[in-house]
Order: sequence, then structure tokens, then C-alpha cells
Amino acid sequence: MRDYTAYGLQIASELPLPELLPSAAAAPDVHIRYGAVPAELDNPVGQGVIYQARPGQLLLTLTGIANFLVSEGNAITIEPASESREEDIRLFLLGSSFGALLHQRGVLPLHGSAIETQYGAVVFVAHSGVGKSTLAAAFHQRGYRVLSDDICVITMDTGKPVAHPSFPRLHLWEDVLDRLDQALPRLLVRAKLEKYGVPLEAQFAVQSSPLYAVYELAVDTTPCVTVQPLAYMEKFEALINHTYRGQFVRGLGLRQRHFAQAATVANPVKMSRVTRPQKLFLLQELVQAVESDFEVAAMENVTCG
Amino acid sequence: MHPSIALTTTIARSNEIITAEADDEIVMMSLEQGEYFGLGAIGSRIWALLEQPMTVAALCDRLITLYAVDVETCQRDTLDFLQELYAAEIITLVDRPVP
Repeated sequence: MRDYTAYGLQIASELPLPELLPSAAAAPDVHIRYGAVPAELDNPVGQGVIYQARPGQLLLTLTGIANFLVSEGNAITIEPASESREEDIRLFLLGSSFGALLHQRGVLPLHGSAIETQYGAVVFVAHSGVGKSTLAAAFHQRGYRVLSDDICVITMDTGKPVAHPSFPRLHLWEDVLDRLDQALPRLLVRAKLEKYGVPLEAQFAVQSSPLYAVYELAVDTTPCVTVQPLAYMEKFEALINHTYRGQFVRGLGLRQRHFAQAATVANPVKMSRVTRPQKLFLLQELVQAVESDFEVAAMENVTCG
Repeated sequence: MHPSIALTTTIARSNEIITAEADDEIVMMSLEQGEYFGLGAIGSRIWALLEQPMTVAALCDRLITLYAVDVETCQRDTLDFLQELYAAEIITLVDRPVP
């Protein structure tokens, strides 16, 4: 077993996880082991093309890669397929399997990138392809430390929302599971797996930060970048919509918990929708608009021309 | 079709709804369907008043003391609003005579 830290958790794993920061954890929160995994769950409550879920258990079935059984928020069992590659296994372990585990632990995993600022963590949520990883990479180039580029865990331990680092790597691959769940041909997916992350080295934040703001990125026919503050209900809706692997929640029997988490986090956190033009990806304008927005106390400014 | 709600209909909150409040807004989820709903300021006030089941007429009597609105407008708007809440199974119709 090797010990690592990620997503605010101490992790002991039989599978080496070079993406994660090593840790000297005395008492791991999560154990990752190789072992036999059932082909199906008894009485699943929810299922998709590649998963079955019921309270306390989620089974992820990835032909040619591995089957993963995620249990009770503290254990993941991996049964690799013959001739599978460890990189592919790690991709679905650190992504979807941990997504299920984080739900089981009752925290709120957001599908978003996050950076550390002097005010606290700033999270960018968006649907695939809108540019959240690109934006985090741009802030990274400007000297900000990155907390996460794909999954940002929010907890409410202290009555205030806290954002936890994932691991020091910027993913440049696509959001594979969303595509898998739409049952795209497997060959296409395999091809997408060839892309891997680039290490962030020293520019990675290892400490959790109070959550300062969440920006929902959107694309529209607007001629310029706009920043619009969100009201409570819109904040709630955005947190629900951008929950990582939100499709697992119902089958895990955690809808009430998830509702309460989103409703609670939405209350104190500043949230805005950042809309960028469809045609041009005005990355510099986008970065400047967001940066000046979190640098001013009031969030009503609109940057245009 | 849902039965229509009249001024004499007694309405109550559904037990199948969980809610969370912030400022003067409320978000809700139906436990059965897992659907989310949001109520704005006035909707939230109506939800608060419905802590005890009451008739639509009684509800409007309360609302006209809280908002600058005449009885007819209030009753018409409230009936429309309650019909929406009923379709979304956020409220139920109480099947007993009004005292």
C-alpha cells in the first residue's frame, strides 16, 4: 500500500498513483485494492450504460479497462481487464470512481477547475467544451496556483464552504464518461484516452481554501465578455447542474443529501455567470474580466469593448 | 387533468417535498420525482403561510394585508399560482369540509 492525498482525503492504494501527492497518512480515509468485483449489483436503484448504483455501492463497468466497485465512501475495489493499461485504469479511478466515492461521503464534488487567490478559492464550472480547463491553465500561466482542473470538492465542515485540491495535473483530455454514457462507439473513446495530463509542478495548491466565488462559464452570441451575478435560485441550480457525476446521486439514494449540500453551499458563496462570445475565444479578455470581478467586492461590473 | 382549485378549496403543503431557504427565496425538491423547484419572494411567503392548511380565500385574506393588491387580482393570481404548485405536486388538496 502507498499513501496519497487528493480531494481532501487520505488515500491508501495498492495501485501506484503517480498523479497524486504522496502522504504520510496514519489513518487513510479510503482504501484502493485489487480484487474480484461482481459483474452486477443486486437490486440496483439506478443505472446507466456503464454503471449500477444502490445505497452504499456503485459498480462501474468499463470493458477492456476494469470493473470498479466503490463502497460506503471508503473503499474502491478494482478488477482490471486482461491486457488493460494502468493509465486507463487510473483515469476512471481518479475520475468517475472517486466521483461516486465523494458522493457516498456526502460532500459536493463540483465539475470544475479551481484556482487559489488571496480571497480564497475561485471555481470555474462549465459544460464540456466551454473552456474551464483552458481558463484554469490561463490563470496558472499568470501565476495563480491551481487547486483542481476537473473535480473540486466542496465541504461545509465548519459552517462555511471549503474547496479542496484534487491533484497536481492539468487534464487535457475530454470528459470521457459523459460521452460513454451516450453509448458512443468504444473505438472513439479509446482514441480519446490517449491524451493525458501535464504536471503542474510547484504551482499546485496543496492546502484547502475557503470557497470565495464560483463562476459558471457560458457561451452566447454576445459580442463581448459579460459577468452577471446570480441570485440564490440560479446559484442552487448551477451547483446542481455542475455536480460531478450528478447522475450517480439518485441510484446511491443521496438525492436529499445532495439537495441539502447544494442549497447550503449556494447561500454564502458569490456566484456569477461569465458569458463569452461564441465565435472568438477571447481568452485574455475572459481572464481579465474574471480577475477584475473577483478583485472588486461588488460583482455587478460588465466588461465590454 | 388536475381538478381545479376554487376559493373554497383547502390546500396544504405536500409531505413529499423538502425545502431549503435563503434570503426570501426557497428551493424545493420533490422526493418522489427528484425535481427541483424555486419560489421567489411572494411564493415563499405563500409557502410560509401554508404551514397550516387553509382555503384559498383565507390565504388571499392574509396576502392582501401583506401586499398592495386588491382582492380580485390577488385571488386570480393566487389561484393560477396554486394550480401550478398543485401540478408540480408541491401542494395537496385537503379532502375535508372547511370549518
